[in-house]
Amino acid sequence: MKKAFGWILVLAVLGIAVLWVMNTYNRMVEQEEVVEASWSQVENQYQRRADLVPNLVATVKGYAKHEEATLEGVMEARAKATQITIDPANATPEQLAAYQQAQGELSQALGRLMAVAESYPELKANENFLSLQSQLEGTENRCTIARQQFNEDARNYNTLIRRFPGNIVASIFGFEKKPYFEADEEAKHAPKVEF
Amino acid sequence: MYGIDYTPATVPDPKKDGQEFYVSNPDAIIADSDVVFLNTCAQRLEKETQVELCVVALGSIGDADCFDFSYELFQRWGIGGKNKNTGVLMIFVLDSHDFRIMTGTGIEGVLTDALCSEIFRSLVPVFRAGDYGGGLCLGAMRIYEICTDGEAPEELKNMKSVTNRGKYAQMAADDDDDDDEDGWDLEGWILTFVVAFLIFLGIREKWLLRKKCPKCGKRTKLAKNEVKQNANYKHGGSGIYHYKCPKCGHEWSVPYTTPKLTVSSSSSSSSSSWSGSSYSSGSSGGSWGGGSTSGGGAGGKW
Repeated sequence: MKKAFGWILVLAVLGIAVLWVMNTYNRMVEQEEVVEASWSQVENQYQRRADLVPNLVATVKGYAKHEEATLEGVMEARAKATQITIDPANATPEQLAAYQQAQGELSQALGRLMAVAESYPELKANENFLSLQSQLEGTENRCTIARQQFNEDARNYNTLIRRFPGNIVASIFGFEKKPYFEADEEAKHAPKVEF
Repeated sequence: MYGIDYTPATVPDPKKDGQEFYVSNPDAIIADSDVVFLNTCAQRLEKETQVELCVVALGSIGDADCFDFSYELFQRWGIGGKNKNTGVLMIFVLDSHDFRIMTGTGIEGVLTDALCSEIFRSLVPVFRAGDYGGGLCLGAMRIYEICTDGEAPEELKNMKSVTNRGKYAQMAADDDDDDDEDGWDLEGWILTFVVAFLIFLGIREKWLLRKKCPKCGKRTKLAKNEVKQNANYKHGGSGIYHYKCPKCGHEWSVPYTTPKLTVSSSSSSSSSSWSGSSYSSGSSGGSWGGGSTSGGGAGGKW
């Protein structure tokens, strides 16, 4: 009787251990999914911004005929930014930094464009331009939020896979740390135009 | 100058007073009649499109950035339905001349950034002229018009826009800032207790239940329990424990008795009681729907 009881207990312990491993693994998978979803939200918003650019450039061109250098600069920056794609499952910090850098350059180019537009009162009064400008501002804000969101989700995931004893499960199943967006004070808010 | 510097945590939530309130006006920046109009407008809007409009008029938010403030407030209160996210926050700050309309993810398609920007620009002269309440009422009317125009109401009512934040933020919020992703959870605790119990049993077996051999001192386990009689309600029990030391072969016996059974010792007294009064959360208060925003909308300095 005692011997059987001992075996039952051992099986129970093993069973609980297996359950715990399962549960931990599943939670890591879920959180990884959250991070990937947040990443695709970041990409969406940046894409949305990139999509605004051709229209914006065309509108400005109509009024600011001699600002070709600036306009070309924007188109080039946009091309560079849309070329970089990242697979969130395997992203390295360097990849993410490069992505952030390219998007930052587009932000700067857009900032220059908006500054140029200042000197063209007719352009500033153009409804289409105003609409595009507000969409650009809105999209920049959304990009900021999306980045913040991603960082938060990535942080939760990283904590989950690094905490003991979960980190044992993580290393067995190959869960790796996700990179973060670095704090970028300049690109925090959209190029503002004061009325 | 206008009272305290508000933070997203200290702005009074109008829903606390009831589901039919949508306006937070703690410094009385706008007149009561304007508040009534805004509430009516928001009520109709919610009835016809299920959009939750929240209007906040504050004297000051200190040095805080209006966009960040609005975002935090929106997320904290959860404006808009949880699975629709068709919430709108219209925020006005007096001392820093800030105004913003922030849109939930589900309403972005109808109340676009461009439209929000248009509304903002149209209100700038009104605010500058000092008619804050009037400006906000105009803004609310405009939002109402946009949301009830054409097919917009149907689109908004049928909107399903569950965000990541919706699902997982709710879980995190329910745990009250407790880390939901703690690697040490229920199974871990059960495992610990079971292992501890096993260790305890092991110790008991090897130590406590064994008696020292009078001759050589080796801890010896029970060889035989000779029960003379079992304890019952008439008399106590008695028996003899027989030991045999495995080291030196010495055998010895220890007699024992057990007490007579009594009535009260066999039942555990359980007092029945009510499990406690049931609490109603927020007796007359209401709440926002639990929606979230991705930072859309428009605004600026007026």
